[in-house]
Formats: sequence, C-alpha cells, structure tokens
Amino acid sequence: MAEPRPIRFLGKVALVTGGASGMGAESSIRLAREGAAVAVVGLPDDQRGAEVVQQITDDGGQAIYVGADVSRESDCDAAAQAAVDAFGRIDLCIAAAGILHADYVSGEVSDRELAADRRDGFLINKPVELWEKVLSVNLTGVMLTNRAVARRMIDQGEGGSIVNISSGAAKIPMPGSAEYSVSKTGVWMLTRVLAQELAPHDIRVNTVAPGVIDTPMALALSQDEERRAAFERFVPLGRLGEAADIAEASLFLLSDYAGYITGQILHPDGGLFTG
Amino acid sequence: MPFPPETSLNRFDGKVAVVTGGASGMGREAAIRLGREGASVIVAGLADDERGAETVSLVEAAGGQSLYVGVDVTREAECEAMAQAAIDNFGRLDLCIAAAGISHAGYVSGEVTEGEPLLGGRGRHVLDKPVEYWEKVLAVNLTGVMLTNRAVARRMIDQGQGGSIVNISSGAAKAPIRGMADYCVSKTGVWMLTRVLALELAAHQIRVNTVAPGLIDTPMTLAVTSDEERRQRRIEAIPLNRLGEPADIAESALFLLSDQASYITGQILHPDGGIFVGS
Repeated sequence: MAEPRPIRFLGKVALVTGGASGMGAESSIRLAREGAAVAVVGLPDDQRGAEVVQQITDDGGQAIYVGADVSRESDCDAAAQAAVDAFGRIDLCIAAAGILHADYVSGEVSDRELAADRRDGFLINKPVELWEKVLSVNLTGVMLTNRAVARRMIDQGEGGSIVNISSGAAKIPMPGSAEYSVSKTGVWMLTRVLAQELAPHDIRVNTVAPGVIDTPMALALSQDEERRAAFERFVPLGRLGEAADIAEASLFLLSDYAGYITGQILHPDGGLFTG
Repeated sequence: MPFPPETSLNRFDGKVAVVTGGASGMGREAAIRLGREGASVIVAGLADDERGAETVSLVEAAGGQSLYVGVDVTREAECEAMAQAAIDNFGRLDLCIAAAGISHAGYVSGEVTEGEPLLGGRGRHVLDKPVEYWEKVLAVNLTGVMLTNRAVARRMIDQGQGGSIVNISSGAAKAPIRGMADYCVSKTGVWMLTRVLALELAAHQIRVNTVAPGLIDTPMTLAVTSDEERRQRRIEAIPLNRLGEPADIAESALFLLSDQASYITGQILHPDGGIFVGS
C-alpha cells in the first residue's frame, strides 16, 4: 500500500535545530514531505546536515542547512533570519538540539556513557563547567531559539507554532545526570511560560518529551545487543522508540490539528514512565 | 477555522471504531472524522437519543459506514453488546473513543438543567450533595469508561492485532471545581484508569490514552456558552482567546488513535487553549 501523503504544512516555513541527525533530521524530512520549506540547523562542522538537505531536495522539497551554536544568541538570530531570507517567512519551529552530557559528540559513544560506575557523574564530584555546558545548550539554547523565531512570527502577525524537545528525564531524576534532567525539566517550564506570553500572538508552544529513542544519542544502549534486549523488555510497548515516533508527535503539535493545544507536554515513551 | 476540512489523512482505512457519547458534541465530531478517514463507526449513545440517527447520517455522508447502538455505559451487559455489535456488523474492532459523560447527576444532553453546576458554582458542595448524585456521576463517567474499555479490549485481544483507545477526561481532572466534586473526581479517575490499563494492555499492543479538554462549545457547556456575558468572560480567561470546538478534541483523539502515535500510551493530552497552563 502506498504511504498516504498528507499535506499539513503547504506554504509554511520551519526551522529545526538539532536537524543534522536523529529526531531533528527525521522531523525536517517529514515537514518537507508535507510541504514545508525547512531551515535545517546544526553545528557548522556537522557533515550530516548536507545529507539531510540533499535527501529533502532529492524528494522534491525545499531546505537549507544553517550552521549554529544554539547557546549563542547571535547564532540563533542569524539562523532565524536565514530562514526568512531564504524562504520569506517563518511559521514553525522544532528545538531539538541537545546534548546528553558536557562532552557529548553526536554519533559517538563516550567513555562516560559506558562507565559501569556512575558516581563520577554525581553532583558532589561534577566540575561546574560540565553542568554549565549542558544547561547552556539544552535550556538556554532552547530559550534563545524560541525567542529568535517568536520575534519574527510576531512581526509577521500570523501566529506560529513551536515544539521544544524535552525528555522523560524531565520527570524522572537520573543519578549522575543531574544537569541533563534539570535542563529538560527547565524546557518544560520554559514552554509553559512562553505558551502564556505568546498566546496573544496566536503562537502556540508545546513540548515533546521522548522516552528512549533509537537515535545517535542512545547509541551506547542501542548498539549493545544484550543491553538493548533487556531494556526493550522493560518498555511496556516492547521496543525502543524511533525518530519517526518523535517526529510525528511534533508534527501533530505543530499542525492546525492541534490548534487548541498550547503549553502542553506529550510523552512518546512506549509507556516507559507511565508507572 | 483551525482545520482544513478538505484534508483527509486516511489514517483509518479498514479500521472499525466504537465511539460512546457519539450522538452529539465531541463524540459526534470524532465519529464523523473517523468516517472521513476510512473507518466504520459504531456510534453509541442513549437508546432514546434521536440525535444518534443524525450522527450516523453525517458519518455516512463523510464516507464511512456507521450504525447507531443504544447503550447505558453503566451496565456491563450493554457495553459488551455494543462492542459485539462492531464485530457482528463490521467484522472487527480496532479503535475506541469513550466520550460518554455527564457534568452532574441531573444532566440531560442539550438542555440547561436546574442546578447546572457550571452556573457560577451553584452546584452542591460535597457536604450537601446527596450520595445518589455522587454515585450517578461516578457510574457514568468512571465505571462507564472502565466497562467500555474492557468490553472493547477483550475483543481486541481476541483479534490479536493490537488496538488503540482514547478516554475523554477533562481539565477538571487537575483543576478542582467547587460544587463539582463528583465530576472532578470521576475525571481524575479516568486519567488513572487510563494509565493502569495502558500498562495492563501494552503486552497486547493496545494503547490507551486520555484527552482532557478545556471549555469546549458542546451541549455540555450550554449553561456557560448560551449566556453571552458569561461566554465572553470565560473566553477572556483562555490564553488562545476562544472556546474549543468539538473538532479540536476530535483531532487530538484521532491523532492518539492513529499509527502516528504508535509509541504513545498512558498519556494525557490537554486541548484547552492554555487555560490550565498556569495551574
């Protein structure tokens, strides 16, 4: 059966951070497939960004890659402006850029993730620079991304819709990963405050908080067959999530089908945190 | 309008759905939209509700097969018969929206009844509420959802191909309202019921989620919405500055029913215009 091709975003322009890989890349591809022009935003030296753009254009869609460090306000403003310059407007945003820990490199598994003893990561032992790094990308980066796009949406005067990617870690404390959990809880509260501040402009702001998803960020788990199988038994729906699960939750919230939803959080987590 | 009505995502071709509370309001709108996307729909409502036949016509006009089944969701035998009607008439059962509910014990859909609790808190406080009122609301809103859920789930399990259930709760599940203890408690109960069932049914690939609407322009909110001054006052308190429409709730429910939400279970979604974001 041919896959249906719903068109929810014809004529819209989207900006997606963390767009070079994982759920950001998958969201970019699906947005473009449904008619949106996409500014795919990622680190300037990430070669995978060009592949995402290539895949979109090969499929008949419109996209550009924009290098940005989301922890810098000028980079976020430049990225939002690049979307407007290239495609004339900005309507949608998915803020998916994030790091698991301070020396996270997307696509690699660090020693930190493989360590059997997580106590090195406990707060009493953690250098403050590591804490600050994660908060600057995962929390301040989302805030800067949100306001860069929101300012342009307000200027346009036609509303908009923003989805911020948080994590199940926003409600489940993870020993050894305080900065990650705290940053993701912060994204959830940021979303709620912004939802209220931006509602008069008809800009909706929501959060998608994934469980464990089979993306570069979960490589340490997903590439170890034994760990993966043990974990899958632990998830009520019996599998890791896929990037597409997160992309579709995000696209729903971005779309007019969710036109009465703002300040909300949606957990595509296979039921992992239901208990 | 928020939705491009001409757009059909065709997410439910060949699927069979049961929708309780289907004669009017959000249940009716969900039934129509399910039909538009290819589902066959059992529209379930009170046996004497004449709006049911009209809903069936609307579902058929939208492109779906449909049948009205009279049901009192507080009776297990009737819930079982309703679920069985899906199998008998359409051959299977894949989807369910449990939208049947009452705002207070004397509620009659489409009428503004005496003691309507939404009229400025004139509903009875717990200390003054006859226990029969309390029991009536819990029977319909909570036990009725449980009975509906298990009647459909049993058949989904027998089929062995999974399924998806959406229970309609309310913003009242998290925001206590004076005079409406029975309603608020029943809707919180629906939310916990959803989570327990999500865990119990996950092994069968049956997902269970909740949609918890804000103030929606349906027969249930007539007491508020039919008074222009009260309506405006309520709208001013909603960040997105409008009442919700049945379509808003229907589309949230359809998303959760669909394969687009195949990794989502045990969750609650609040299409409420942001009204409870600060609470």
